[in-house]
Amino acid sequence: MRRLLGRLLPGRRWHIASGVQAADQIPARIPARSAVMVGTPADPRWLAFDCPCRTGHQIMLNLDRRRPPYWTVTSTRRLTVRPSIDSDRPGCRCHYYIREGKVTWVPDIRRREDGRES
Amino acid sequence: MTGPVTLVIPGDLHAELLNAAGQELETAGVLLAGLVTPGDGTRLMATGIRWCPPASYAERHQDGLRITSDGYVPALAEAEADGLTALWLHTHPGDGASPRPSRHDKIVDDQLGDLFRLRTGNGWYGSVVIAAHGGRLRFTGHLDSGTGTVSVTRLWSVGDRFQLVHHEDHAPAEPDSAFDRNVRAFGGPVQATLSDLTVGIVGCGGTGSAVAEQLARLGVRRFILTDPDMLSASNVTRVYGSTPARVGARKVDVLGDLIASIAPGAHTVRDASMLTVQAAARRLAGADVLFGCTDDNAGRMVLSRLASYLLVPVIDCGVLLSSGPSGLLEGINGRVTILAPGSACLICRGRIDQARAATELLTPEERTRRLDEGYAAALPGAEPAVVTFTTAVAAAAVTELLERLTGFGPEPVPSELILRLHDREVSVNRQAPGAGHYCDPAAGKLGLGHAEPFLEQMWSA
Repeated sequence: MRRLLGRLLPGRRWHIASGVQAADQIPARIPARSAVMVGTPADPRWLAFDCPCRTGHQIMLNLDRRRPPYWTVTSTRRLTVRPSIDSDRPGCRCHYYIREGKVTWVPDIRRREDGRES
Repeated sequence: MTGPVTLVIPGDLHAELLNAAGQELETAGVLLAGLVTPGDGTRLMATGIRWCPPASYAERHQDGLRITSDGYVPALAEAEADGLTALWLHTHPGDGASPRPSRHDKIVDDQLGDLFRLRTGNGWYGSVVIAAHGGRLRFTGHLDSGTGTVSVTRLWSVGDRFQLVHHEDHAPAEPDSAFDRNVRAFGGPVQATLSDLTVGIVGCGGTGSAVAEQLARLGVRRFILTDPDMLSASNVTRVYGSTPARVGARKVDVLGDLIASIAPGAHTVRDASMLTVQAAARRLAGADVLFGCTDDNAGRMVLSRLASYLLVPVIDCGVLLSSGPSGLLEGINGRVTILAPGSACLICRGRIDQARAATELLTPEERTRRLDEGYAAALPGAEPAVVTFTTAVAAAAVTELLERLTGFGPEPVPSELILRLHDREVSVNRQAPGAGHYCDPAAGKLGLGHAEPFLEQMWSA
C-alpha cells in the first residue's frame, strides 16, 4: 500500500539532500525522498537513505570503487544510482531502480485467475 | 505508430510457444524482438524467448503464477544490450483456453510497464498472452509506450511452414465468392491469409510479372514492387501486362497497372529503385514474403540478408538457358530457392556470383577502368530468355508459397527446387546454413533488422 501511495502521490524527486564526512554522522532519520552522501564528491564512500518501501529500514550503498560491489551516482539533484538496489531481507525483498529521481520497483509477478473468459 | 503491428517469429520458436501453451501449468517468459517501422506498419522480429527459470516460480498453477524478479530481469538487461524490445509473455494453458488478458493480467502490465521501458531503454513495453486450440496458436498482445497502447495485430510464423495468426479480437471476413474455386482447393483460412499478405516482388521482368499476375489472381492485395528499369521492346515478349504502347514506361508501373486491372482495390507501392539503395531495401521490411525475380547479383546479396535480418521469407527464382556448340538450346534450368529461418542463404548455397556483384556496384567509368586493369569480373551481356520458361519458374515459385501456407507437400520440406525443363525433371534439396554465417541461427543475426548499419552492411546510398 505504501508503495502504491508513493506512486500515486505527486512529490519531490529523490535527491541528495546533504553530505557528511563519516558514516557515524548519518542521521537516524533521513527526510523522505532524500539521501545522504558520506565522503566528498571527489571521494564518495557511502550513500544512505530510508528504503522507499517505508517500513523503516535504512539502505547503505557502497560508492567506493576500490571495494566492489559498488554503486555509482550519476545525478544528485534528480538522483540516479546504478545498478539497481536489491535488498533481500527475511520476509521483505525490496528491488528497485532510482533513475532521474524516480523509484521504479521490480516486482514479483503475481497473477491468479478469478474466472477466465473462454 | 500507425498501421498493423506484426510479430514475426521463426518456425522453431512458434513450435516452442505452442508447446508451452499446451503445458498443464502456466508458463511465462520474456520475448525479445527487434522493432522496425517500415511504411505504414510496425514489425517486431522475435530473436528469442527467455523463459523464466523453474527456480523463479514461487507458485505455479493452471490458472496463476508468482515469479520472483530474478525470473525476468536478466532478459531486460539482454534487451538493453542488443537494442531489443522486451515483451512479457505468458500462457493460458488448456486446449481451447482464451488468450484474452484477464483483470489480473492488466494489473501485471501496469506494474511492469515502467520497469521494462526503464531497464531496456527501449521506450516500449510489450505484453503477449498465448493459448492453444486444436494445435494452433491463439494470441492477444499490445505495445505500451507509457502514453498510449497499440495492439499486436498479427503473428506471422516463418519456418518450414508459414502461418498467419490474427489477434483474438480480429473478425475474419468471408472470402469473396470469386475465390470459390481456390477455397475449394485449399480452404477459407489460407484464402484469407493470401488476401492479408503483403508481398514484395524484386525484379518486375518476365519472372516477376508472372509471379505478380498469379498472386493477384490468387487474392493477394498488397504489393511492394521494386525495379529501376524501363520497359524495352524486347521485354514485351515476356512481361505480363506489357504492350508495345508501354515501351519506355517504368516496369513497376506496368506491373502495378496489371495488378490494378485484375484487382482494382489492390494496394501497390511502386519503387523504381535498385535494391542496393538502402531506402528501397528498408521499404521491403514491410513485406511478409519476398519474391526475388532479378538476375542482379548485388541486389540478390541484399535479398539474402533481408531474409535473415528481417525474418522475411524470400522465394528466389532463376532461369538459366544454355546453348550447345551448334548454337541450339540445350539446357533449360530453373531454380526456386526458399530462404527462411533455418535454411542456407544464397551465399552459403553458392547461388550468387560475388565477383559479379562487386562489379555491378561500380559506376560505369570505374567498371571500365577496372575491367581494363583486369581487377573486375566481366558482366554478361543480354542473356537469352523465353516467356514459357520464366512463366514455368514463376509458377513453381508461387506454388512453393502455397505449399508453405497449406502444407500439402511431404516433409522434410525442401529449401530448393531445381527444374531441368530440358530433361522434363524436377529435383529438390535442403541445405543447412553455413556455421557462423549470418543465416546460421547460432550466429545471432536472425531478427536484427533494427540494428545499424541496416543489415550490418555498407551502403553507398
